Amino acid sequence: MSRFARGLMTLILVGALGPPGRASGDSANDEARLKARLDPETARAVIELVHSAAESGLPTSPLKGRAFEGASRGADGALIRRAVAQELEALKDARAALGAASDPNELVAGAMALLSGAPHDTLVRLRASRPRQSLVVPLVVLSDLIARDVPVAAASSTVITATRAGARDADLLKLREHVEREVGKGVAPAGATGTGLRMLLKDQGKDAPRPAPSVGRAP
Amino acid sequence: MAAEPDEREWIERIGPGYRSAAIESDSARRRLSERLRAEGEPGRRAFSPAWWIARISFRARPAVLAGAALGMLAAGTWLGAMLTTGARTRSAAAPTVAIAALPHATFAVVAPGASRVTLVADFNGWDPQATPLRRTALADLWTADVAVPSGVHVYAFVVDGKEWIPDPSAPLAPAGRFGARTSVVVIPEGSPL
Repeated sequence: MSRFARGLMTLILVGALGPPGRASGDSANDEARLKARLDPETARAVIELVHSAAESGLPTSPLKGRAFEGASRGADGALIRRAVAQELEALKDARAALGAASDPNELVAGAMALLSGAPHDTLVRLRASRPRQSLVVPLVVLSDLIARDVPVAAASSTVITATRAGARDADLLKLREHVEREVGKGVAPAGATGTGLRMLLKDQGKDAPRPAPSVGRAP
Repeated sequence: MAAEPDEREWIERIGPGYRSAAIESDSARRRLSERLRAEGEPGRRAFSPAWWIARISFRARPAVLAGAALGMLAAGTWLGAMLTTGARTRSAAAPTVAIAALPHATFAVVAPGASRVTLVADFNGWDPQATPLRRTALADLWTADVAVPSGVHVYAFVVDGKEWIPDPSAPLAPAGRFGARTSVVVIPEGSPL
């Protein structure tokens, strides 16, 4: 390789690696913004939680986002600290449920689902149903269903059943829209979810799950 | 420019045959050269990095070389920024990635009687002043086309600077600890929306 080619490659590599300290410059910038928008005690606590997340290899943007959201809404410092700490715990729990190899976006969506009230086990089962595909959309749909007052157990089993049946992200989003529309018309959230799941399974060419027959009664 | 060892091997293999060929016309010589070039070098795989690095040898003026080097440094810096930032959410208040490189999403909301609607989101630092929506010809419909990093984002609309509302057509985020509900948008990697 000529000297010029070597020099060129070195320049590309230097550029790709970036000027030393840029990543730390980004976090310093974020910390300056946190200090500017939060009271000193809250800023210190939030920055500690952000460092803790970074050291654990967890995404830090949801924590900073939560703090900025609280600041913009004029929330009390103690409330902001509590919200950011909850977010961090949810991210840790999401990683434990979804696996260490999970994409950061899956962890963010998983933390949302857990904060909505979805059980840890639901995330474990969702991962088992989609071991290699992204779970971002199923988790977002799960959070949305719970937020629309679908009972947690019904929301969990609906998303797990749909995902196990091979539903694509677009199918799950269609199910979510169906529930939103039906609830808007006054249909009970659980009922709307049931009809949405039946439609999805029909589209998948699968039979909808039937309720288990009651013991001691004639069919 | 002196031949590198690999080039010498190449010249030794094809040189004698090329010299012994009785080629009278320029066009025939050119055709043969093209065919030899098309056959590739012996003993090398087409996409081996060593192959294309070894092929980088040309003549140019120093000013052109300096310009090329600066261009490559800029490209490398940009590539480095993309590789090291990944899918992290960035605030629009302090962007370090070129806006044009980010996917755009259109946010829209119907806000009857509103005089001002803005977007607050994790990608603009939840700043109610950062991203105003424009009123469309349909009087109550407000829209904004916004560069958004890929990933899962939470957002809401602020009507007349005081009322926070979720996007009625988007998935809901978990019940907020700070009051009003928020919405979720998923921006796929490199996907213009």
